[in-house]
Amino acid sequence: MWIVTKIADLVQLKPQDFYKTSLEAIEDKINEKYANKVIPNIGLCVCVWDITDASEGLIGQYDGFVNINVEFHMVVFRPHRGEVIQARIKEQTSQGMRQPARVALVTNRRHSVEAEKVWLWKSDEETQLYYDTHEIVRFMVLEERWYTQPPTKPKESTDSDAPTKTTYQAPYSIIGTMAAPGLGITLWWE
Amino acid sequence: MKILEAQSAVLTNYEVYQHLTDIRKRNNSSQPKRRMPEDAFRLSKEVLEYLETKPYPLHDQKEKQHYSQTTLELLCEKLAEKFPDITKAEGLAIFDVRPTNIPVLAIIVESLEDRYTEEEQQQLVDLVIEVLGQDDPEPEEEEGEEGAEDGDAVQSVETTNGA
Repeated sequence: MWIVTKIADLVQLKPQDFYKTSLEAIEDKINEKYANKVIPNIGLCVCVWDITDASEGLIGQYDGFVNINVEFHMVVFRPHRGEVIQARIKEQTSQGMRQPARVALVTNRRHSVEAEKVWLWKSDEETQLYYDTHEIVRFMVLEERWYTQPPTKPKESTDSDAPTKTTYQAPYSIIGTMAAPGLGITLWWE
Repeated sequence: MKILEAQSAVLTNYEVYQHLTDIRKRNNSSQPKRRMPEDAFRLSKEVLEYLETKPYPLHDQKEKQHYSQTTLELLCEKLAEKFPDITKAEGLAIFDVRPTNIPVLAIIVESLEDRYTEEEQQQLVDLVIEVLGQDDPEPEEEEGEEGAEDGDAVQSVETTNGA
């Protein structure tokens, strides 16, 4: 579920950060920039794993910033295909029984995980097992979708203050399945 | 920003958990207390909460300490000894999910039934329980007993008072 990605970047330390040790200041700067952000085709960055290399700090002529070229490892959330992970059901929209329902699962706020499942479970025709919202489920990752938000047009001023609809799409979503024995709500398999 | 290696290693849940708790401990013990930048702090908190959700095996890590630095090595050794066909990815998933019964094991290990006999499957589950531990069976009953004990205690107190 977690990978380590090696990244090189230029870190600029402001003079007001000089009271920190260099390592702490660099780590803070990187975390500020990367944590909780999705890099397309890499995954969701969590935090710095370690710093492997840092150049001498060069002070800029005008601003007094210290410029350092840093190479570091980043902890990244990126479940691979076929991996089994667990999540909490956040919301589900369904058309009814025997209809495939879309279940949106969220493991944490910024990335929503979506899964498709079939309502009726084959093993027992009498009992119907429901997926309740906020229940913990296990699912298998099938595919991942990346989305880059293109810049939007500036709003033209109108007289009526109509609220504009903002569509939000997750930059990184994971599509999974719960249609196999062992998957689905974890309590079924205890 | 330049990506040098998209994936230079894979981490287990335990390693991430340990890394984040270490950072937190270090930050709390330094004088004055440090704090990660806002986004990193919030995300790491959420990741820790996520990893501590049942039935992930790390949910009772604080009390039970089932996992430690050497656990992964131990698991790999034992798997290599008894089940050499288990692949690295499967071993990693076993370490992360800790399957303590066969249906859960079957989703992690591909075509489990074709590769192993039922006896071997059970052996694999036993090995997992031996190395990684398991949840306490049926905690509800224990709670019931505790409640009963409490009741007894209250009663005995009352009787002593009455006497």
